[in-house]
Amino acid sequence: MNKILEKLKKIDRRIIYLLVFLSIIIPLLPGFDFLIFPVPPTKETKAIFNEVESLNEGDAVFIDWMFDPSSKAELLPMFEAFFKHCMKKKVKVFIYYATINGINLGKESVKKITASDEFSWCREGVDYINLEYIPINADIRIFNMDVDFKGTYKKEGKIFEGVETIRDLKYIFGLSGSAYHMTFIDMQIRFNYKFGIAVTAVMGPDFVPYLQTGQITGMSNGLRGAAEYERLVSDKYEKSYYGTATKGMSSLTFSHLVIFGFVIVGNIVYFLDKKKRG
Amino acid sequence: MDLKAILDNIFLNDVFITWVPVLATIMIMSFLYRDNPLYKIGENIFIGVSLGYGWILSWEYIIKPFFIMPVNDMFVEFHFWDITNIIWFLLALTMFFRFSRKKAWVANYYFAFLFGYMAGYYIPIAIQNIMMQSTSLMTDLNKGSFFDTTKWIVLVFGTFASLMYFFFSKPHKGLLGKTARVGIVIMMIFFGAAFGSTVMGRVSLFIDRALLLVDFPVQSLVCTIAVIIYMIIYFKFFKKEEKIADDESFI
Amino acid sequence: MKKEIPILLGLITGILWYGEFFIAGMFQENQKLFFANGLKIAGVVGVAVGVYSVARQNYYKIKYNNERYYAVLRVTMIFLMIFLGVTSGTSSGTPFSSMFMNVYVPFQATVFSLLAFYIASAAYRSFKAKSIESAVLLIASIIVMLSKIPVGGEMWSQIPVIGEWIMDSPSSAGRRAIIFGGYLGSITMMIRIFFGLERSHLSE
Repeated sequence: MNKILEKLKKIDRRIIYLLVFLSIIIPLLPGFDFLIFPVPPTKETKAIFNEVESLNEGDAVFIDWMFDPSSKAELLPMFEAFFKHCMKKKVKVFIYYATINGINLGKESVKKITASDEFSWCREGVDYINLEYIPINADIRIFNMDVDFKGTYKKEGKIFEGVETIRDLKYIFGLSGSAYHMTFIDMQIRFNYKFGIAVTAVMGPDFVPYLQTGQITGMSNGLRGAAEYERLVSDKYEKSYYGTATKGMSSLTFSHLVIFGFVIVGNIVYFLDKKKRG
Repeated sequence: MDLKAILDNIFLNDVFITWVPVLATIMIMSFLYRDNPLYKIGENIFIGVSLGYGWILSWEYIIKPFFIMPVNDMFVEFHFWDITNIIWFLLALTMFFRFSRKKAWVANYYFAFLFGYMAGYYIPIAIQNIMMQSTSLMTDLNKGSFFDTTKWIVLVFGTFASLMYFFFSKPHKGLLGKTARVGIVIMMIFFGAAFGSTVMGRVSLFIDRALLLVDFPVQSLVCTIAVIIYMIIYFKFFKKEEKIADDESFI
Repeated sequence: MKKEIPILLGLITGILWYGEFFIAGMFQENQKLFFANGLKIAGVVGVAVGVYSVARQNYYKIKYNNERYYAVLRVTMIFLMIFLGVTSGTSSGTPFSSMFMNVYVPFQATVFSLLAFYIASAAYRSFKAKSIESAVLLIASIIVMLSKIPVGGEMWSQIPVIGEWIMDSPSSAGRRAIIFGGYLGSITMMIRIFFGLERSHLSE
């Protein structure tokens, strides 16, 4: 017993890494598809879904892309599910990139979606547009709500019809990864626009107070939030829009159970060792 | 064959698109065993590519539209308000003086302006947000259901207790001490929830890489075997692994 | 003069922007754009500062043989990206974009994904219930972790409900207290900058 305890106390970290690696990769292997099942949505993700559902054809949605490839795993599936939902609702989507590193990632993702058969009808400049990047963001503190929207981004297209200023946007959706959307949240009190957010799981608990004050109308939390949104869209349109987020949930489950096991074993070892030392 | 076709053949062919991402992933993952030259090569390739990418896009989205084109327009037709742009440019150029030890004070003009502007616009926003957070707590605690009522009671009194922990003008004794202790427990619950969410966040990052490895199994296996062989050769013949106690090693 | 005039400049700018909040129309659109243009021009110079800084650093590394070969590799990759960007453009489907998607994205995503392993190792080694507070932290984190995964709801139907209660109630209370402290601290710092009491952002 003492030998086992000593071995567990001094376990090589690389064994822990290997166990985590196996717990993540095994559920993703072919043959383990039975482990994939949709996740029940939470009220925060449903709030974003309901906001988009309440929009009419031709309404404008502004996506503020504030993440780079480091957070792509959690936020890209959410962006894809949200974009597809907006296209199904036939709302106009303005995609603004607040980080330079996100531009090509976003464009490739949109290109992949619009190349598929279902969304091949989507035209850039009419149904969606990449507003690209301008330094210092499209912060509302600088561009007040009444500034010329088209002139700010220096883009052309039929999509700008009916959208003169930021006030004409019906919904602003932020994807927070490499930076927070604090400006949008802080300014929401002053300008009273509808703002939803998708955050990495690390930031999830930090934004709950803003949800409770109403500064954020909905929040998607990490990979799970993306999986929930995929389920909501799939259930609504009775078609599979399940993507990498839902696929990754099985892996997430097993890795969490393994880490949970590590915590339990670590504590057992600690208490047994404490008892041994008196 | 012209240059464009050659570049397209190199960078857009299937071999590049399938093998390079997998190799990149495995090279960086080799760091989990131990720091090694393969990881360092990958790291430096990444730094170089990211800098080059950033500079090219900075030229396209920052320098060309906000410097080259306005300067061209100024030469074509000079308006009196273009003077403000020149003043801005001179003010921003003072940032270069930060590299000099003797003349670093010249950069003070730009940084003082920047911080002054931030301070001026931020103070009312911060006060507004504090008011918003406070007023949202001033609500009827009876929410109908037992679940929601307990939620709001804990929220209101928990916030108060946590704030009492940060009150350092009086020693934490007596009633204040007990309230501060409750505040600590409330904050520990927040940190626990944050840790739980962090675990999900961090694991999700690797799930994306795992999906890549699973999508290209042949490439993953070949690259893994190659890297393992390299690591065995490197650590056996070129660098002896120092035996260190595992509790001294980094996490 | 090295600090007094910059502080006065900062004070005047701060007062103007502070006043903007209270006096609607104080800043007409042109004047707001005046500041916006200024910050964009500063962005231009910021890029130049970054380029100069990187070039200087790598020059000294190559000159003084401090990880020379890695510095050469870095500079080679920078020039490769610049060459690809200039010759083929930056749009989707170009070699530049291919390098971004197949080199930059995998490298950056993998560097951050290593955190998954570190957090598991940290959970085993340091996440122990040594006191009441750490036990509370441990229990809260376990319940939240279980509520995030679908199997948590299968184990006991109340786990997602308790997890949601923890996130909405005590966790939010703790976060609010930190938010209050953060905003109050930043107001204090901003007022100190406003009146020139804080000079750490200025050099001698």
